Amino acid sequence: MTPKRYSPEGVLSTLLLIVLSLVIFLQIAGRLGVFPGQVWTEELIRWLWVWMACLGFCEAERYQQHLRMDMIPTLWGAALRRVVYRLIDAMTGVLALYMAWLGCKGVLRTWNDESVTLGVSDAVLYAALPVGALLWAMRLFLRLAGKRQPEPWSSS
Amino acid sequence: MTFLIFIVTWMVLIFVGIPIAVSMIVVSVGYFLYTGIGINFAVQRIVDGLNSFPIIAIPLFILAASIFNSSSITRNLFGFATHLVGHVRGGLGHVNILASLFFSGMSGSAVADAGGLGKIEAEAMQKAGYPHDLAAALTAVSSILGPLVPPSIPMVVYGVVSGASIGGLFLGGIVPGLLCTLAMMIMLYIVAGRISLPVHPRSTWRQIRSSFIVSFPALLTPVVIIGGIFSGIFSPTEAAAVTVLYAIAIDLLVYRELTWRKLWDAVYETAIMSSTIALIIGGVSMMGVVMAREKAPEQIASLLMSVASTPTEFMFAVTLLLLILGCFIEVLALLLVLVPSFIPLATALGIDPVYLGVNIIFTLMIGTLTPPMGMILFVVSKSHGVEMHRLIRATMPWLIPLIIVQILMILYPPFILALPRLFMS
Repeated sequence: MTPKRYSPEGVLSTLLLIVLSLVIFLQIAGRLGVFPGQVWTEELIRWLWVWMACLGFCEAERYQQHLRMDMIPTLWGAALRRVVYRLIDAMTGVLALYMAWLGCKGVLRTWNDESVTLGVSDAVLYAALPVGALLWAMRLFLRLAGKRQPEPWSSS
Repeated sequence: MTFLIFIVTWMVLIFVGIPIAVSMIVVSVGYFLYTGIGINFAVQRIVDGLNSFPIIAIPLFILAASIFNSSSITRNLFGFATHLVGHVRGGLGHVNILASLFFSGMSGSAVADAGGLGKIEAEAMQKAGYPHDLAAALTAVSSILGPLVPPSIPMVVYGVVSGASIGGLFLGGIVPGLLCTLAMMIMLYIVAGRISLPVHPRSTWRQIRSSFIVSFPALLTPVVIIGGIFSGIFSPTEAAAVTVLYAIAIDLLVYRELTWRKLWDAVYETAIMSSTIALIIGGVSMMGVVMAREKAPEQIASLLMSVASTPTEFMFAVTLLLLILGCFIEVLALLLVLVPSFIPLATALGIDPVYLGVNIIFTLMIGTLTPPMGMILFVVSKSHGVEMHRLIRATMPWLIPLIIVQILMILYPPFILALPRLFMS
């Protein structure tokens, strides 16, 4: 089966980037006096960016877009490279799971802290990390299990 | 000793092909587990490192470049540059350099230049029979103009970590960008005197004028960004959002090629690309805790102070250090990890943070052209289909004009500071 071009986390990350841009326009318009400016826009923009980035980690993994220096690995034979890359995937998957667990502890720790302007718990912000890390681990383990990945992203 | 093991392990992980961001998180987690201190809070630093308003300019500038790349704007700029300088000795090589300068006013990233405009340049130069290696080397070298001329992603990052005015940095990069363009074109002119390079027939005024009119709205982009920031209408992050809006508007109204599908794909691509950068920023934030605990900034500061006591000596010491480290470490990582240790020293020596920042970014851009970690070399090697060792060999001579410009910038600060002082006074 041909791998899908878009994934749910990629779509969500994209939508967050669109909303984030719109809120920035709202912020500019508010300051220019088009309508009353809102104090919460900057904090909302930052939170949307953090969520966008954490969800995007997984999509970047699916497309294998995370920056790596493959100069030395390209000198190895294909078989050795495949083995090393699978080991890297497994190690990164375990790391992502560990980060998800630590991230959950962070969510619990910040549960009672309230954001400065949004009036919601800071845990909403910190939840981006465990959610993103969990989905990231899932993508890595799916690749290790043999699920086909799309070719590196190209918009053309 | 612990810190040395930490750095060596990090290097080894990078060289075996572990993604840069992951390598930073792995060594940091390893450090915290080994020393038994604060892993919970260190992981939280990934989110804290990202939770910054100025950094959000990064995805927005990437998005603007992506929109420009997905329409014929980039091709029009290349066409305009061809009409302007295609007939000069060196032909399409000059076009390559000049088109990169034009594109740098719309993109803040060397990778966007090398990967987007670079494809068009490769296609045109191969078609014209230009030497393959030289074409690829010129694309690589000229792409460093992207982060020098505003907008600039590394300048945004530097502004965030140093507290320097991002608008001032944008202005400070203009003259070095133009100097760099001139230096590369002079070198090409000299090289073209020795080997025969195909040239484009001289264009008529009518052709130049019509290609200028088509490219004009795109060429105005840096004016919109800098004008907006210095008139106080918007912050650098908001300027980035306005650039996106401007790119969409001129594409819809002038070029009329943007479809919903293309726009969605450009945003999708941006979300992916900026997430990879975000993970690096998050990884560096974790590493920053390790650096602070190991007192790395103090060690670097004392190293620099032992060899430099005047501002000029300090600048040369920083440049040399970054040139060496830039061969092994990625630009953003260096900016975020090392720059904070330079700032107090530079302040004590009375060095302007904008002058320091533009010099640092210029040096780091040279680092993207040097093996084994030259990011631009990787991108161009793929987009031009040139083997890495051949590209490295072809690129090395082109570092000479860049280093000359760097020395001039260090010795004569007004090259960088004249414009910021003019507009900010």
